[in-house]
Amino acid sequence: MAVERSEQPEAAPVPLIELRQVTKDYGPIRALCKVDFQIREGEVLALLGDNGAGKSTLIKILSGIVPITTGEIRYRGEPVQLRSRQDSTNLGIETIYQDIALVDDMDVMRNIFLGREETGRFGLMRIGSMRRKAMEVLEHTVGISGIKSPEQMVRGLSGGQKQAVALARAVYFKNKILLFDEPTSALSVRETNKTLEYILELKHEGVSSVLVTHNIYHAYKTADRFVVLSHGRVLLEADKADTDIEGLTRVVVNT
Amino acid sequence: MRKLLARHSPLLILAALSLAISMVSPDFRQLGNLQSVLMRTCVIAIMAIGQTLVIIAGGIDLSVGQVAALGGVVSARLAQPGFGWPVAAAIVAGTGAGAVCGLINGLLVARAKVPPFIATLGMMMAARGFVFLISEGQTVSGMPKAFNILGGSVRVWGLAGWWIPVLATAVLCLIFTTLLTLTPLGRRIFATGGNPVGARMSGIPVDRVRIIVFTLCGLTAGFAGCLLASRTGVGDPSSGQGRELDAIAACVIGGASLMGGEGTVIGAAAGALIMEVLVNICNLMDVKNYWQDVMVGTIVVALVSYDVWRRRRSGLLRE
Repeated sequence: MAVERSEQPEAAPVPLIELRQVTKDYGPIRALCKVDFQIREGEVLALLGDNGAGKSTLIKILSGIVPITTGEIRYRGEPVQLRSRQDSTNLGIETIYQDIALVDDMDVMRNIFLGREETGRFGLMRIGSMRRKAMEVLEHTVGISGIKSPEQMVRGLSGGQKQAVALARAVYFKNKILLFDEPTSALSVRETNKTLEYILELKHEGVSSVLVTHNIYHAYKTADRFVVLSHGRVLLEADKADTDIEGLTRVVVNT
Repeated sequence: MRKLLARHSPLLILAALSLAISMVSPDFRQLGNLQSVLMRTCVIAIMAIGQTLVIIAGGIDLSVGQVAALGGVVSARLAQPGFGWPVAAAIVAGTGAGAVCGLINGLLVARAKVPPFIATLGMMMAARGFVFLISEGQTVSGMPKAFNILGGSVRVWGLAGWWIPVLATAVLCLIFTTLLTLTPLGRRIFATGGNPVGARMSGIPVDRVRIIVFTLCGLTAGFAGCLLASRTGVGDPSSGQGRELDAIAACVIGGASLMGGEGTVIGAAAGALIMEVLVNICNLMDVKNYWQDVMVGTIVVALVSYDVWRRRRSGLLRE
């Protein structure tokens, strides 16, 4: 049933994650139709398309939040199931949402470790150790911050700082694939540049990133490869070398 | 410092209230009176402890009053000579009956997606039905004397027993405070109420957390019912009437936010004590019972208004 894409050279390395002929229906609505999609090791991929093109659905499938209707998902060539958020976490996939995945009434440290708290004896949390690690990860992985202490409440943070917390969480847990949902839409120019720089920095450490964005300019600046979705289908898949920003804009705008 | 004050405001209110009352009323500060206030507080305090978990997780449990009555009637019935269960087993069974009700509430809310208000309203009615079925509409009595130990109304080893329910409440406070503040489950309960979508995105099994909190709430309610039956020495089928609202009021007075994500177990217990102190002082000063209801009602509404105002000011509530 799954057919290899003909334009793919034989010797290409096995992609980290591969979706083959994936279809997703929400009741009568077809959100994705026979989509082939890959994430390769150490690349930055931009996922472009208009509202309702299926970008969010694709991200939700990769995060394990919604199940696919038909098709196949492979991890390093092996068929896998992504039935829950946990399945996706186990494969090293982390989604960075603007701020909806943070709990405003909790401090930075608690948010970083949310859902993955360290425990010691009797199932009690190791609060001291978590605080130390939160501090470390905030200090040396995320340059944006300006976050003064891990006890600061998330409520009072700026968009960039919130994203920094989400990033810190993703990076601390050594994820291999980061999915960014509209990473720059709520950020200042300076914060945007910092975030994009940081994504490139992570790439050199072998982390793959997928940027879901409306902003073709940001996408073009950062990504190595582009996938444009339209009405649930892949309209274009191109390496940076094979396209330019004008061409890309034309495809996206005409979708 | 302000944060510390805000956090422990129920305890401060309690201390100020008790001090003020004991200055004007010599009857209040008598040891016997204080003991009886403490002893009476326990039932609502224990119900409020479980209720707080549900409220922090963003839900509400209207069934706790009837579930408590069910726990009381079940334990009393089983301890009666007819069944003749050992008292401890009867109390475990009564508590377990409560936990089963809570589990059903949790499944309805988390799996069937019934809003907590409706699910627990249904449970409240169903539990009331079972209470009358099991008790056959009669007060259940004739249990052995050991049945009264837990409630503290009999002397144990020649000592007044009032400290037994108080100790039980204190131990439950300790256990549930530890659960909320020092375990991952506690963090997950706060996250579930504070931002359910975010919690799910962070990989927290939100539905499982909801099932757990409702089950624990049912469990504490069942136990509170056993304690009440033990204190009064009878399984009274109408004993649950209105207690769910007392328990919710205690949580709110204790600083829990009905919008979820906030609250403490100690606060809830203190809230129960504040209500009991108010009732007590009204009794001592010969204020009619009805005025007590008016007072408690006013206090609850005032506190919720304050909570809304505070949240709006801090920008959490959007218009």
